[in-house]
Amino acid sequence: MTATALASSRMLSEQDISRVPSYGTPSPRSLGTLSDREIQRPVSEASFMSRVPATYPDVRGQLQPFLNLAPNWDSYGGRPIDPTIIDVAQYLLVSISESELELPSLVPTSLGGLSLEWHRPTVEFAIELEPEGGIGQLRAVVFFSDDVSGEQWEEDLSQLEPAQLQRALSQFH
Amino acid sequence: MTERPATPDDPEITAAAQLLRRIHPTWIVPDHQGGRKLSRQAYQDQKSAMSVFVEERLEELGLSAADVLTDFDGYGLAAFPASAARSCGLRVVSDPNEADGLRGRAHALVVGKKTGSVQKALVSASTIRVWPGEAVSRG
Repeated sequence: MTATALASSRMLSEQDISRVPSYGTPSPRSLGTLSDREIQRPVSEASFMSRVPATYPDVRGQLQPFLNLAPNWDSYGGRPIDPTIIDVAQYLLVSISESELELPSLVPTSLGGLSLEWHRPTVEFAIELEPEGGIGQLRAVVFFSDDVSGEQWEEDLSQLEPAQLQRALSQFH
Repeated sequence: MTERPATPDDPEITAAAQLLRRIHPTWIVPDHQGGRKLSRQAYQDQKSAMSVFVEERLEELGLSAADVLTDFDGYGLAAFPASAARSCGLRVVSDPNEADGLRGRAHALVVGKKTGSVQKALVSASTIRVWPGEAVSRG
């Protein structure tokens, strides 16, 4: 996952983005503050909460319930949310909190991931974080859909053009 | 649940047949204009096989859509026609599950890759029969 596209959206500062960890394939480029050892270690609720800045109660409140999802939480064999996903979501949410963007809805996925979603009645923008491959590796996919214009696309975050991301996010201030 | 690439579509499940899927409360999101929407994550699956119940088969068994929610308090229920799945290139396959009691006989799988656009198409074709947390009307 890369955060350069988010940085280029001009809604998040470069300093914010420097806190966003980057894990795994397809384009591993370490931007983060977590060591490999930390990435591979299951994150307990206590250690996770200790890393969330106290000044962001909304982030704490939004993420905490997802740490408690048990296997089969969706009644279809859904997997617990991968701790690495929670970590990445935490960093993204803190950065978003400091930007002009509204906070997204957080939607767990059956694959053990988390989707950050912005919705309007006819528009959707989502950053889907899904575990992939080994421990601590994830894939970030961006989805955009506008029912009125008919525009719809799905791209790996690492492949996304900053201008495309900025245009999509501009609807969610 | 395993991927079944060789399993053919079941023509006995009619195009108009309503396919029912339980909805976890977290799959309902606000649209920030006073409404709420079904997230595409409701149609995420594992190994390309998504569990549903065929409403017309439930009715043949003397059951109703509400029986899909028995023992799943707090969940909602969404429905979409089999034709919507097939128009996305997905197959609808009978998959009776005797371990789930009588309703398990109406169980089916929607087989095939659920890309974002496929999930979106299924959401667009869906109606919410029961919103999560709503009282379930039986009969």
